[in-house]
Amino acid sequence: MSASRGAVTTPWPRQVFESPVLRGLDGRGREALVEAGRLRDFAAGDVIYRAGDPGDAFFVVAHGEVELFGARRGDAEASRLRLVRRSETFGEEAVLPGSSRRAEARALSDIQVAEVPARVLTRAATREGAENYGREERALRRQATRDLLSTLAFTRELDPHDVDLVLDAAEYRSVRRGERLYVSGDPADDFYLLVDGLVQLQTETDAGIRVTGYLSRGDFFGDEEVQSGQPRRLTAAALGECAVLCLPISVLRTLADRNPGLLPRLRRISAERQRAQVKLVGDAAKRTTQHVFKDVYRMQMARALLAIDQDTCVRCGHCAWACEHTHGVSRLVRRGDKIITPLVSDSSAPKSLLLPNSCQHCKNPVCMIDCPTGAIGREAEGEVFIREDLCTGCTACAKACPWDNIRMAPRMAGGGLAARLKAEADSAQSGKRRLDLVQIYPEVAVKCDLCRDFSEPACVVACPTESIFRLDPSEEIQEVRALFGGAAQSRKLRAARPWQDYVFPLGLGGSLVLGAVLLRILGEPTASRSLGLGMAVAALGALGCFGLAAYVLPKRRLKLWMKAAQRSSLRQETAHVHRGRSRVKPYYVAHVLGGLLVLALVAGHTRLGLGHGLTAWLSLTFWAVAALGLLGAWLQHWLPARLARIERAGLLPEDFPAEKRKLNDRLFREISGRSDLVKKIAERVLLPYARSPVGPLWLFLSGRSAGEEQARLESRIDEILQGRGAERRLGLDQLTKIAVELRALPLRRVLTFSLRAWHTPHAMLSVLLLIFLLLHVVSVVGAS
Amino acid sequence: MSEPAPEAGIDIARGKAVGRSRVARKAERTSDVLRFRGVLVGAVVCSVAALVAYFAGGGRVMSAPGPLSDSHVEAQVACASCHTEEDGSASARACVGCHGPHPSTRQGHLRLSQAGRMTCGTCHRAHGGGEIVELAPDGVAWVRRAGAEPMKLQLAAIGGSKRLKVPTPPLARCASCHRTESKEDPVARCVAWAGGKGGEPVSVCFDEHRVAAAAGASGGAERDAAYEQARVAVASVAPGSRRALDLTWLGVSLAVVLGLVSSALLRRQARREEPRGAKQPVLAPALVRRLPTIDESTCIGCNACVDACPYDVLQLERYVAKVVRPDDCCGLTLCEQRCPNGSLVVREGEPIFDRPLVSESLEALESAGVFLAGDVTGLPLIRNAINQGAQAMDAIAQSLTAAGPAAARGDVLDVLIVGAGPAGLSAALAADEQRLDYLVVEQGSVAESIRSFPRGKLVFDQPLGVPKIGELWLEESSKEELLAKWRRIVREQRVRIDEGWRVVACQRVDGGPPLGLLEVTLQDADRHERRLLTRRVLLAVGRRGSPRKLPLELPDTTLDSVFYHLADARTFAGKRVLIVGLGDVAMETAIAIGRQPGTRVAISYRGETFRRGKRRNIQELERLVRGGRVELLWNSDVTSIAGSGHVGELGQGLKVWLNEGGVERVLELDALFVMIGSVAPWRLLEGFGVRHGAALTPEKSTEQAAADSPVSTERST
Repeated sequence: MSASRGAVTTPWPRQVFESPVLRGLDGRGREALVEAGRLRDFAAGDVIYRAGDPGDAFFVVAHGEVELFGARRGDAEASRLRLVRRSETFGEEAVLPGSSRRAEARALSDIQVAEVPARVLTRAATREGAENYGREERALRRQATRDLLSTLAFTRELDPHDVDLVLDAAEYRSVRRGERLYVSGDPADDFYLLVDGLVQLQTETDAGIRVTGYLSRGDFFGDEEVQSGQPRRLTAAALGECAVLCLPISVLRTLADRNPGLLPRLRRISAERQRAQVKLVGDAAKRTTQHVFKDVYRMQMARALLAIDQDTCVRCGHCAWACEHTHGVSRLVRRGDKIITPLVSDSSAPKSLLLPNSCQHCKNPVCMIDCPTGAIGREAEGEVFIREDLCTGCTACAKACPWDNIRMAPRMAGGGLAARLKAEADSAQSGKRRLDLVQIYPEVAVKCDLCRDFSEPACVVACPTESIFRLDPSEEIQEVRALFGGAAQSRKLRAARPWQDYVFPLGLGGSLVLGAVLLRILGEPTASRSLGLGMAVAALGALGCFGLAAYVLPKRRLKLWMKAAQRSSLRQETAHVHRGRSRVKPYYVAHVLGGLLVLALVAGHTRLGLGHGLTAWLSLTFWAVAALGLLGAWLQHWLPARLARIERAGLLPEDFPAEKRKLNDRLFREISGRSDLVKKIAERVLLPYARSPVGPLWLFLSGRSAGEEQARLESRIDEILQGRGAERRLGLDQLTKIAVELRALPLRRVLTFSLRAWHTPHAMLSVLLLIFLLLHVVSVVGAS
Repeated sequence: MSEPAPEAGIDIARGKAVGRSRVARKAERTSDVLRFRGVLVGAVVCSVAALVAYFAGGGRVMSAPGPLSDSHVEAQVACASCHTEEDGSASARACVGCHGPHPSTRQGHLRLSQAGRMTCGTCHRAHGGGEIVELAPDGVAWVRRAGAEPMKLQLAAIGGSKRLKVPTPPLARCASCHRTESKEDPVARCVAWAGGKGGEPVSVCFDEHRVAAAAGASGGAERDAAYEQARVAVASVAPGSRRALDLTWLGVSLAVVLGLVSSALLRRQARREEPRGAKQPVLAPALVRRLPTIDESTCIGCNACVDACPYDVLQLERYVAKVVRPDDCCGLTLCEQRCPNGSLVVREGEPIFDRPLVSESLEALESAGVFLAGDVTGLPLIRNAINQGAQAMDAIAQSLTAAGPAAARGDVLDVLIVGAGPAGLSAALAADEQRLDYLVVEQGSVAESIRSFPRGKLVFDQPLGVPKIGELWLEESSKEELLAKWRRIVREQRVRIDEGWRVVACQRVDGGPPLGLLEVTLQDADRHERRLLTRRVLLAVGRRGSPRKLPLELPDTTLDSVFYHLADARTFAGKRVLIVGLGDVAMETAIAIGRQPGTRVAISYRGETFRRGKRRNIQELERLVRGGRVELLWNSDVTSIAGSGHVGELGQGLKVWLNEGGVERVLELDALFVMIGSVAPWRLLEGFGVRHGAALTPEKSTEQAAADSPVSTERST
């Protein structure tokens, strides 16, 4: 519980066990509850939990009164849902799937409540035999369902009797990701209420699927055929783990008979929902094919989605390196889907975001459900983490994660900061236990835990351009927020400053001016009077070189930034997952600007001559290092956005050969079995287009994005066809897409390579430069 | 309702991105992590090598005397000799200090120098200069050019007693006053060409500072001879004789390259260290029946074994794994390998009989020279077949090498591969690689077994522990993807395949292998016969053999409407279809056809409930039954079949009589699918002398397709 003002006391008062739910427990069961649960006191007006908080425990009131407070769906104002008195329970939604709070609970007077983890009660009660307990659990569920219904819009005008009817007939069903609740053509015999999860309504054909709507928590579906009694028109598929409340359609008909307004209201609500979604998704689809609705389930589930701004990311991979350095094995693989979408904090410009393989800390983590040993836990703020000591390496979580964000690694894979930190804390005994674990369970599941042992996550800290950040899609991505109706006030995402846009040109200009001035002053033949200045410039330049080289320290010594987390029992009330900010970026900016300054100083000092002997070697090395550095800075400034325009997904440099094979396979697979017209087009237009050796160069020079290039290719095909065979070339867009990707691939490869290639010689020659510089300084000082 | 966006959302319809995956990803070390490896080492290597090169080279070229002319270097001229302390500039006075006053003998030059508009530096360079020709009286001439080694020439003696020094500055230096290209200009008389005509023009400055005759040459003729010799000497400088490249340059450049290379090598090394799936290939087929046993008290219900099993033998019930379909167990120990805590152990049971007996190198135990690969060995999975094909070809190549070169008989193949399935194709590619003379014969067409899979079936979703060999593999692909890829490989690699030929007999010639030959008789659809001589045979015929048929007489008119596998469900849209059988293949066919618009599908099955098959298929089928798309006829048997005389798209219609629980029923159909398993190709194996366990047990199938059996099984010795 995030709100934990209540102090813990034992034993529990009598009133708690007088509650109907707990009355049947025996002594051992009560002991188990007292041990696992806690007794908490709240003052009048205190908030016990808020809507949306995760919660897997329910409460029994020992004394005092509690008010449940919430907004009915569709209402703007929150209203009182229920008043809870002594020995009554609240927070029963903990027994429902999804287990997050639907309403706000507030203490009306000074109260004492017992917090009972739902699972513990189930275990304590089922020990006696399942039959004894079934009744209590049903009661809890029924109350939870009643609360749930009272937060929905369509039950507004139902009288209590009708609600009871619904409660009697309703039945919970859980659906796994990918399962279909009904398929088009099935008989319509249920009406569904989505308790938790995400359902997609779609029509299926051989050519693929067309989505007609997304349904999220609290939405209903399956009402279309209630009156007509016809088979299902659409298919309802679960995009994630879902829990639905099924109501036999006959019951709904009975309700409709009693409330003539019910069905029209249902229709109106779903029509409104449909209209809003069509506009939202249509707008996004018009702008790009890489919209957030490609994987809307991910957007809905993520609490802290890792995103990399591809327009500024210089593809250095420092984030992954930092992760490996911290954890022994990188839990972040900079590869994955890309979305183009505007964020809440920015004005309007859509951002090009890469969603790498890294845990997004789901609101309802399926990995946690699947873990057989309970090794996966969740902090109150929602950070999901793996307790390595409990992990058996059974791979259940890794297979359950739909986005491959959990991976299997050898246990104790090469130290890392975190392991060292832990080893310091651990006693010798537990160290021994660790060794045993390596033998029994040599593998362990690893995933991002937001560096919970540290004050800030390493990847974010280490990013030199502040391009990697965490966001909560349902609050910070405009379209997702609109689809799911995000929270009332949104947290402000720190707007990434486009510093490169002005800092780099300004620095370069300043350097040119300074260099010219120094050359003018020091280049005069009668420079004897400026000897002091000359010495100063020389000394500054030398110091500058050493300072620039020192950039390696903030960049590579993560220890400077990774401080052990201060774990306190008292957390902020509205705590969110900690995000951190880039610590390396200021040094990166300083390095680039400092480099430009040193360039000017050295130009003045050498008067652009080479000199003789050692001096010549020194200047040669310097100019080589400077040229590489300038080239690198310019590439990093200019290329990322260019690269982002032509890539549809994130690829690492080593992926390119495999990607090319994959694309070729896909191309030929798409062509096989098509009409002769399509084959002819592929042979005459697409294959030459994709294989043209100068194609990537043209693409680069034209500066078109992948989407624009595809549109251009399609218009070229249309020109050739002149409207003939329009229906026979159906599905050609998939082919053109692959062809464009094939053309862009070599270009992407070259650009990615150039973003990195300059770095090794730059770093290597810098060391040589420092040595020559030292010799030079020694010889000059020695000579004078 | 209009539609928000095509292609939005995950593609559930095609079975992609659905549910949990069956494979866990391994943590990987990407280039992001590894790219910084070796940079420091590279830098150190580069620096050390550069310093060594610098000091070993003595720092000569760029050290102080370097750019001075050689004569200045010999005279040990230091910087301070010319450059003053105050402003660092050198003046003409510095030259006069050593060389003495040097007035020009030419009036024009003299005037200019007196006016201060011409100095020593106008013609001569202290740095990088030294262009001069020295003529000794005995005819030895030294030619010095900037940037080139001094050159010694032997010319005719000119007499006299003193050495003559003739400066030869480049003509370009005269160009500020003279029109060098003009014939009228006085300088035209001085022009010579370094390296002969067409080389760099130089001015041969005779009599510039001192008249040569006055300097000691005894007469006008000698002066003329000296003049001519100076011109000859200048002209004889080979154009390419520049000063040899200093080794320091080379050394330092090499050092930089060395650093870059060493860092790159270290990075590659780091990538190589990647832990690979170090598991041994599971290639040997099991000798005894194997079945997993699960200790329920320790099973943690993690699903690892369930996911590992390719045949859904295991299932999770009440949080514990159970063996639910023991008959389907293929005996691989994938489940055991995946179990995290050893709760699951694969125990060995009774020996298996219906399996050909082969050695470890996949050679038939009692028939030398005949090798087996693929499903026919009793080891399932396409992936294994691909591996086995390559492995068997390696063994064949070895045995051929051991047997020595082929006997001198024309048209003898090294190896005949029977069957162009995954194992056969992989073997053919391997044979090509080994440069063996091979031929593939196939009774149908390439990858017939895979072609008969239902459309869009996911072929591979078990990339577990089994390594893959060669390029036939595709990660998780559908049937069409795989077929397309194989066809392309067959076309591009020009794999030699003869389609439509069936093996009917095999005889041993010259004692048979290892030293002799095998004669294989082939037959095509028109019963034409063809004989091939080969040194080895690889049987990659699979286990399917031919589909089991109904024990009924089929009238000729119905042949077009009876199918044994489903190629494309779309052709059956709107048709009335009966499927006989309820195995996985039958269920998948029913599901695929049932999803087509307007079809009416019925399934006839002898049993009363689902007995086997994958859970997913059963659930989907039950859904279709509930939706009224498919009708399940339990306890039913086809009793007779007749043509209906109605001619449709698929051919003539059918009339089928069914006995459904004792009640007769007649169905009017467009198509009938018979999917009641297949008959293993044991006869063919026997023809090659391969013994198999089934010979010890009673023959399981009575309806042996006649087409399958080779006519002759005798051996000649």
